[in-house]
Amino acid sequence: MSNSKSDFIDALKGFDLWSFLAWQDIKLRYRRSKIGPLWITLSMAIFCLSLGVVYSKLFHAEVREYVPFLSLGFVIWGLMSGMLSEFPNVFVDNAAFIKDIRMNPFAIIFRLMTRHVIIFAHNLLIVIGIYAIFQLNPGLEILYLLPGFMLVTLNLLAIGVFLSILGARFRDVAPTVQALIQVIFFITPITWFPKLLPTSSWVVKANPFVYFLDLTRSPLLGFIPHETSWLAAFVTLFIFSTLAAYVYQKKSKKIPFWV
Amino acid sequence: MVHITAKSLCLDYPIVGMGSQSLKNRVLSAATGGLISGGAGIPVVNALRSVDFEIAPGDRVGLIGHNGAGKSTLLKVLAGIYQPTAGHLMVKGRVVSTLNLAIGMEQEATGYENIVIRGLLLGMKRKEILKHLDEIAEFTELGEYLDMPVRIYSSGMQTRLAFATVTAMHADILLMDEVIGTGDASFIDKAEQRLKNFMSRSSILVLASHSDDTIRKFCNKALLLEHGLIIGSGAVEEMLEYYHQKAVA
Repeated sequence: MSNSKSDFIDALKGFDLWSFLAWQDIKLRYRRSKIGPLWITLSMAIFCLSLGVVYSKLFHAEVREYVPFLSLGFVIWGLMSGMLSEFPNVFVDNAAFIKDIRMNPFAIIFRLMTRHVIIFAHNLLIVIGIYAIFQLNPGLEILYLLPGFMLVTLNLLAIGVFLSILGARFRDVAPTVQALIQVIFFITPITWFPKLLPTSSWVVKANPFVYFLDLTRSPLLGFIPHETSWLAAFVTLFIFSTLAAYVYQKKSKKIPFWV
Repeated sequence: MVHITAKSLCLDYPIVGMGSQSLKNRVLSAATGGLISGGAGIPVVNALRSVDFEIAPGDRVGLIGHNGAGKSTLLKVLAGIYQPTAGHLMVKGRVVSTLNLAIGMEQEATGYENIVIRGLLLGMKRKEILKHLDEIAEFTELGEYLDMPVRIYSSGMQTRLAFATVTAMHADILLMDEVIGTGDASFIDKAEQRLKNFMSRSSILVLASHSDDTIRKFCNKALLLEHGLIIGSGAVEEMLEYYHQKAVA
């Protein structure tokens, strides 16, 4: 019988495998192109700067307030949306392995997530650039980033387990998620300040990404994340991981038949 | 102790994608009164139907039978790729499966990197692989090509690489789907020697093959499969004879 808990622990112990494969993915990107994953960083930086300058006029906001807000939010969004968009296809993409060798599904998910975290680390150059240009100093509040990031990553893992198994079974999940990501981008305060909406707006309240963003962006900007965000992220983690454990327990052994 | 026990082992292979894989169909069928619960309406192939067997240390078991008899499926179940639908399966020992050598190569990665990847996939630790790296590299005779991406290798070179890596493993239980055809003639003798060494280090061998000679050469027992059932088990010659009799009849 497959067991989500023991598979999870086994996969953690198999750190060797997925960390190597994730680094391999990054290495290959550098091999065929001069700056590799930094292309993503570069395009992100251009996006942030141009949008930042235009939108700050649109919103009548100070450039030095708006551009850091937008850029840091966008870098974090890049990590979240990158993972989300790849989850539904991750088992299909790894079908060659899954059908040929006993592979722990968690190891495949860890590989994907590690790769995205490494790309995210590249994009931190933008954060450093923003600090330098606007002479921002987040102060000690930046330490909140660590627990915040952990909590968000665990949430993404739980969502990932659920989406990847669902995506292996139903091929409509990938395009659906793709479309949802776009919607979430616009209804999440990345390009606009949350204060522009009335505080009771359900758009902000019911969207878990609002809290994920607060937990990670605020420390980078030198603010302490809101208490509600911690609470909400723990609640979503509980919901998502229950869902993930249920689906994994029920369906993970079917993956090799589906891909 | 290393051993394999199967009791009333069943494997149903669900065929998704025959009109039932899309979410839309699921939702529509729910709206029109179909069942949402899993399994309903998904065609299933009964690939293994309640098979029982026991494999002890020292056994070299040949799996024989027609195409689609369930040989490869059985190997995949033993390898832990497919989990049994029903029944009981106990596999004790480190399993190495070489079911498909060509698959799982990272085309852009170098030969050396692929050795490490494959070793890791087979459950070796990184240190263990690095210890064997020189020996594997030497056996492949690929020389400087090992620093180049596998993309430029010929298929024979890729097989050499995969073969050398797999056979460097230590395995208690070795599962093989057809013996590896290893390219050019000069290599075959060397490969066979290495294969024999590899097999002698593992205490159980399960080998599926359509070649009587291969079965005779490597196995001391045989299981005859037909339509997902084991219809005979015993000595190699006896089973091969039975198999050919049935084929004629």
